[in-house]
Amino acid sequence: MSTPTKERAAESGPDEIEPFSTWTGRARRWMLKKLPPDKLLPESQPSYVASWIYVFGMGAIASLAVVIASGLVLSLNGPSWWHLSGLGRFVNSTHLWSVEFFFLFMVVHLWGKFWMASWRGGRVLTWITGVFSFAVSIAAAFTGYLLQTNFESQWIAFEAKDALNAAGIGAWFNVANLGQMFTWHIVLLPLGVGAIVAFHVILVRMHGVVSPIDAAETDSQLANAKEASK
Amino acid sequence: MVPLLALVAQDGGTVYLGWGAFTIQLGNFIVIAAMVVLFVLALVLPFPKGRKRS
Repeated sequence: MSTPTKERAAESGPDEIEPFSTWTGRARRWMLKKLPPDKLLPESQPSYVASWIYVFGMGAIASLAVVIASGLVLSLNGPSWWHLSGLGRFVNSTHLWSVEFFFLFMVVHLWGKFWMASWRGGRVLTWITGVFSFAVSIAAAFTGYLLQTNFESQWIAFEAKDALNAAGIGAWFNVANLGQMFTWHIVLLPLGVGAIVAFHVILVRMHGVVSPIDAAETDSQLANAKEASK
Repeated sequence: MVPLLALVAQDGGTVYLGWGAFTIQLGNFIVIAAMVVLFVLALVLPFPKGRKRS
């Protein structure tokens, strides 16, 4: 049963000094301080965000949603369906092309963020999670090529086998084992990509979209953003 | 005149372009060129104005 002090603390909001004794209460206070609802789902963005170079991150996320949806349909119906039926071949092509767009948008997003040095202003972890999501996406795409169940996938698997054996991980990550690659491709790597991308977006919300390099320190929007983050 | 990128090989339906020791599959070249074009357009094209909020 909670004490009157705790009840008062719960009503007073995260800014007040609260003697929370439970981990849930302390976690809530920490989360509300780090990411208040108006930062998590903002209604407006600074004027410098009104540029096409800022749309590619969201383009990659939209493509990822199509990748996951089409992949789910493929995995539920199986290889004979995506090889032999007209609808199966269409969904298979949708999966391939959404992956092409995912990487295309992600690379242009990467170029844009690199040239504006977007790790500035305490955004190093945002940059690092972006790099990780790129690396894990490449692994996910590679296992996808192995699941085509055709001569190309067989050729890729037996070329990659030598490289992975040379790296010493071939016995643990066996590209010739279709079942194992299926688990990596539809469970482990999508969970990895999804979790890293979600964390990346949360970090963008926490720190805000990086300003252009030539924006002056006295820029009123930047000053307001700094004031709001205090 | 030597073209910058010339057709160097054709294996079945796959076309390869080359420039000296550099070789690239036509499909990969198109994707990379599309990314560069998209990047440049994103920098130079004006962004549409949003609706005014009261």
